[in-house]
Amino acid sequence: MDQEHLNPEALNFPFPAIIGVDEAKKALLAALVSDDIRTVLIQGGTGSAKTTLIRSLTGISEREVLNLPLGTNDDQIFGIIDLEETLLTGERRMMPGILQKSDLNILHADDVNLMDHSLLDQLLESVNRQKVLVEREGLSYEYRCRTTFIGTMNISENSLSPHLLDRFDICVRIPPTDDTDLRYQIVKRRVDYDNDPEGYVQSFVEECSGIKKTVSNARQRMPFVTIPDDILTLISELCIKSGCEGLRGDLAVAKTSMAIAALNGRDVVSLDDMKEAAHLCLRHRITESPDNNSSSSSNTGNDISNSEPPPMSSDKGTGSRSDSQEVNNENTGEGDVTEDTVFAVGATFSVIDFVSLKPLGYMGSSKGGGKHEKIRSPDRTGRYIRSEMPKGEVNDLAFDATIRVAAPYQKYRQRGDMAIVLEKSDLRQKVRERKNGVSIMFLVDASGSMGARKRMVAVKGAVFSLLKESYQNRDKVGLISFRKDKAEILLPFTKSVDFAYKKLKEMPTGGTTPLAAAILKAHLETKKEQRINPGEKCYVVLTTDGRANSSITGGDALADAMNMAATVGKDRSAIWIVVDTGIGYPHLDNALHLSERLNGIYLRLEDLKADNLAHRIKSIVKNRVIG
Amino acid sequence: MSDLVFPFTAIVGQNEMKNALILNVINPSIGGVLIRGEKGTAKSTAVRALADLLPERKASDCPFHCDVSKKNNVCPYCLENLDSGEGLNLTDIKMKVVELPLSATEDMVAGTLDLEHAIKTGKKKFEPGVLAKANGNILYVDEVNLLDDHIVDLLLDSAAMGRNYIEREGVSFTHPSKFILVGTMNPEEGDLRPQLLDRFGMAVDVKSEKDVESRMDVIKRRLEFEKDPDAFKELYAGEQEKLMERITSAKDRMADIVLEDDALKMAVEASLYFGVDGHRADITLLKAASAHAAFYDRTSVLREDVASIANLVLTHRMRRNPFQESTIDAEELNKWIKSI
Repeated sequence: MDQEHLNPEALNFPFPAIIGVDEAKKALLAALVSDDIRTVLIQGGTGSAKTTLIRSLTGISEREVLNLPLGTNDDQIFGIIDLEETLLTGERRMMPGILQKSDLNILHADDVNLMDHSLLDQLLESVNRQKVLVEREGLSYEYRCRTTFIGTMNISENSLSPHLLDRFDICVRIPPTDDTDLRYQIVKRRVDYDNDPEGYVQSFVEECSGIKKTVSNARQRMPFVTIPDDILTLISELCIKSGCEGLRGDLAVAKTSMAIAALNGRDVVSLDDMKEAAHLCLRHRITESPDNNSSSSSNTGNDISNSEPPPMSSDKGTGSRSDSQEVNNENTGEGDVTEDTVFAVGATFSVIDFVSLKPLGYMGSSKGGGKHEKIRSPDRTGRYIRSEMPKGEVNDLAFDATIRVAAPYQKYRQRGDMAIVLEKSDLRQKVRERKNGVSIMFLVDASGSMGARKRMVAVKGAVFSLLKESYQNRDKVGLISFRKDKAEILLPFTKSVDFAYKKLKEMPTGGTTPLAAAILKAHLETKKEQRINPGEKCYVVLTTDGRANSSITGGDALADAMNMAATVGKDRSAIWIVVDTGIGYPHLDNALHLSERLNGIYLRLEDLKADNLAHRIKSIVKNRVIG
Repeated sequence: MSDLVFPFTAIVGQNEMKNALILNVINPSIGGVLIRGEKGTAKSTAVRALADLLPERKASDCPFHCDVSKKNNVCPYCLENLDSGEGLNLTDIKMKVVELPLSATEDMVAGTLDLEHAIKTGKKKFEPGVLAKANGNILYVDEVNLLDDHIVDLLLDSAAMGRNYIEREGVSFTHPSKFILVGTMNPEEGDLRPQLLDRFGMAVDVKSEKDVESRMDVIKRRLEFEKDPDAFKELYAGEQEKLMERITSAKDRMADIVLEDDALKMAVEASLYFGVDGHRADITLLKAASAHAAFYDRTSVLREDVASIANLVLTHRMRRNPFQESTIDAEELNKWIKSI
């Protein structure tokens, strides 16, 4: 029943045959050499040989590579009551978890960024401490886990937080291969391997055992390797300069440079060893100042979006940078647009994490507040994370836990033909968790006034930037535009951000401003969404210059909008973010008043840009929440 | 139910989609196909119709129907039998289309503790799930973009490693789960997670027939089929038989296909030209081109083979910003083919 009886690794693609991934290979070798390097993270694009590398380790090491599947729950990782043993003996016995099985071996988790982050945190903690303490089901149990944990992940989805990244001793990123020759070699090797795996593996046997020898020599050398003081000083300086918080970085560089020295057959760490180690250990720890986002360090999802050129529509040259809009106004004149006009999407920028801002007095969950936190699933959907004593009726029985609870008592129960007799007090309920869904409705003023000085170009640019953020977080988005006498749903809530972008691009501008109708429409849409998906967090991002000239009641349009905002604001089913697009003097405070009535968050269009004002905004909002 | 499958050969047009499916059957290591298109473009019909054309294979009679030609990827039961020298019982089984319903729970997909067995005997036993059934078969997910994230996670592992590792509910088990992943989706309803997208060897965008005559053909055939399925199937029996034979013989020839260096270079150039990340694209191009050559009864892979399947393999892999159109435009592709 156990993984370790199998040997599917015998024919893995050989380690020395993998080319173009030198840094990753060096990182893995260092981890094989030093027991103090316990956690390694390998990031790379799709098909960049991440998994192939890990699997090839069995060919150059005595250690086994165990696999940690996604969706493993904590019982399974840390240890659990052994059902069969407990039934047999009537005493609680522990069944080893994956961590115990991987003691002195290598544990590999593919797509580690998709793992439950708190579970990953615990796992990394255990691996770094080399000890696991289990307290559960009336049993307390401790064991050692001298494991090398290797995580691999794709960079296109769900980045890891700096906190989690910091827990990895080493983190390497595999670069894309743009060299034709190298690429040809890589593919050629793969094809040769596929044609005759056994023969191919055979042809590398000698080289593999050479590497094995190097590793074991280096391991023996490890206890004698020392770091000169001047290099230690350099390490500290380097870490301070890179803005590493804490001392994990310093330690990792020291340990890794020792391993590299040992691999190179030296007893004393040289400057080059240290440099190489610093590359492996510091890149994911560098913190950047916000105005310096062009650096090569690359660890968060944010800089991926920075490095992409803005996908501007190529048709017209109208998409000039949004920040130059105010100056560059001669060609459209001052007045509102009366004809329907489709404006291009303005330049994009990386946006602040607006959804984690909390409005004054928001009554939502007090814990965390980050929008993508996991929530407990009220129904039977979601991932089974643990079991608990049922509160009231049991509607989602955790069979495994129930049987484990009952197991020790079976010796004393009247069992008849059954092997297990359950009593009501044994019953345990499943606790399931699912990702907190976030839906964002973009409510965009597309009236004529927005055409003035091509303000719409900048607004579209801003909304697009927000959409981009949603794309990375896999949020649901919707789009409502309001102009002339009504608010129109251009796109109901969907997960296709691509589609939202298309709609946004084609969205025409012109006509009057039915602000009240717009607020009502967005409110009804989010209510509907919450009825379908209870527990979903809804946001409405309203871009407006605070003008209104088309009312529902026939009265004053602005008063109408303010009343509507107050009514909707009381409901608090969605969080409103009012983005003020108004410019020039005198600046109207209408948008601000509107956001107050909506119990929302007020931001100027400029404030959305992550690079210039994010920090100020965050601190303001923090104070508001605490205060 | 299986009698009501619309014949594959009776599907009008949609040649790209049909080719992609056929090539995957010929060479399962291509890695499946994602079919994107509006409602009513015969996506599901085509996938289900494929069932009739699937060849037989030799497999052990264990619950996972292990492919015993791959000794390094068998289930624990077979391994035990092999180790003890007892040998395996082999049977011929037909490849199937196994469907993964959207509503599936994680234990249904990955497998779980056999509760009945546990209560009766006090022993743990693994109860196989959909991933076990899918081994050696086609795993079909309709509306794959709507699949819950935590179910997708389960698929990712198996699709990448060809093995399902179960660590849940006190069960620690592993078995082979190598399947051809086929997904259909309507892009308007949401995007696919990039990680899952990457697991598909090919992607096809289908559009409904725009030509009046073909549209009429589609409807006529559908009506005829619904009126009398058996008679309709009889009508296409000859064609079905022919196609099936062609697939089977191409599959048999796969082992003898020679990959010319020329084709290899072309695959690499294509990937670079279209800005594709990683090497999976290059390798998949070659696998698909080999299947294409086999299907056209050739023993060596030519540049034409690479060119004719390039669109299927490359479109969904281009390094792109979230909001760019992903299809390589036909013109660009043609230009590129000519330039070589």
